[in-house]
Amino acid sequence: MRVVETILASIVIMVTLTFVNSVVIPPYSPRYEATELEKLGYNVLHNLEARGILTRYVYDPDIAKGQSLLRSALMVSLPSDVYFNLTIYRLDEYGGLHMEGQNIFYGDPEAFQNPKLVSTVTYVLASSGDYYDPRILVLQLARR
Amino acid sequence: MNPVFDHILAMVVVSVMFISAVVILPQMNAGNFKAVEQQQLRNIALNLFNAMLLDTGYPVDWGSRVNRTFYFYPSVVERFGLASYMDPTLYVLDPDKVQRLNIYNPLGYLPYEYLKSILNLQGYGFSFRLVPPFNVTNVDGTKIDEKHTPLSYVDSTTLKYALKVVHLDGRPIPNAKVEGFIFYSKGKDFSLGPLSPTVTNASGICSQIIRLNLSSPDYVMVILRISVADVAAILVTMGRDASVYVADINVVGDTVVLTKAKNPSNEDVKIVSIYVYTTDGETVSLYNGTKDDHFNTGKSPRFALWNKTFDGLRDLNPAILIFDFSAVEGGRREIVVAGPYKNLLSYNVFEYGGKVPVGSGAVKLQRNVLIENMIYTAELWVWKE
Repeated sequence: MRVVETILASIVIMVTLTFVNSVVIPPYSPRYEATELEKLGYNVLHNLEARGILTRYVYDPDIAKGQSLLRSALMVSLPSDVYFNLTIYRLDEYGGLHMEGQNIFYGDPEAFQNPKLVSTVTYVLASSGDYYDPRILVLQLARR
Repeated sequence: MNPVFDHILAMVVVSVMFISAVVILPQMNAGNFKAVEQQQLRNIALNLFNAMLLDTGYPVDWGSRVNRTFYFYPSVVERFGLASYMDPTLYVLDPDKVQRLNIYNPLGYLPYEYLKSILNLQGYGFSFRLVPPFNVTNVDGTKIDEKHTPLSYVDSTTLKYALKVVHLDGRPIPNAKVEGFIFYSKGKDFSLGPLSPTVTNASGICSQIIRLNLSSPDYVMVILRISVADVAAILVTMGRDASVYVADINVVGDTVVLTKAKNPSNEDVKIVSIYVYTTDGETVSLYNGTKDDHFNTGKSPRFALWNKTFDGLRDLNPAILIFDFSAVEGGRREIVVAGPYKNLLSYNVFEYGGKVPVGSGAVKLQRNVLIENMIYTAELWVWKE
């Protein structure tokens, strides 16, 4: 009987250790990568805004031209192995969200299929001048 | 079962389990131990990167004139950080501090080993890089340098430049805006003028003809500002680099300092005029030399040959200073020299620190930074030594 108890106890210990091994998140796991991309995304949008580039292109009256230039600005500002998908929303006076223009996209669409590998940054611009006219930027990033 | 056999069997089973645990479990855990080590490395890298990019360090102006001298002594730095103390915006770096990471800075730099000691990074190595937003090369893809210049003469009064603008992964960039200024001299004459703005074609290539007022100039300096959606890089290109025997140009805060050239020619040099090419692409006349503004390239007992403070110079966001010198070289003639960032804050990748060992499990972090209002990608690699 003691043999069975010993074997059972040992199996329990081995199973516990195996379970612990399986739940540890290695640093290169998608969760860490997504956090890192999130920081980079905020950082790039912040710097483009600090230089006045983001506001100028997001509020460009010629939406297609502004978004094309914004795509180029993001392509040279982000590392070359990072794909992005930026959507710009306009807020109306009733609080409704409306998509402005088209998605600003660069990269392989398949890179955005797995949500665990994609990080999302939401960035708000309050106005381009004196009056309140917010735009909500949703930037999705994925590593090549 | 006989209790003796019962005990023996139990001991055998426990022994087998123990030996298995000693041999197999470390193997099973090796990956996780490595993962935890990597995570620690990542935390160290993140803290180090934040300290580098978000902290001003102490003294806050450690890269500028501390103790009233523009010569830099590493012992001045009590706490390290590259952030600008004059701009509260995040990720704006102080160009004076970044220059102190350039090991070729004639006014002194911060040695890698010393920096590791004040950062308490014993046992770890790191490499810090500033990567330009895109690449500018010759049309055939070769790197632009003194031997491979994009300038060529069509005839004695016509100059041509041709270059290629590509993403960092090599894809061409169409519609990149190229503008700039040309400075050139012939004998005792000096001339300058803007270049007509142009854009790159679908292959990322751009070329332009420049008409010259002086025939077959002795010295030509073309400064090009290439911008993609208002994100710019600045390129200095020249026919012949005269700085090697006249003087090196340095800027510390608002002070311009000329230091001994690599191969000084032991001649009397007069400063005729100084121009500033700003990161916004404008050319500003900064100074016209007087009879007191001269130096001998080789005889100065000190390293600095000449210096002058121009209040508000830093506010202009100077990308390049262009000096029109008058020197004796087969008779007195005008010589054009540019500096100080041609090797640091232009289109080159700037590197500081150790060499990233291959297969060391080094951690890489990237952020976007502003230096002199220009965008770069800052990269930090950290590894365990």
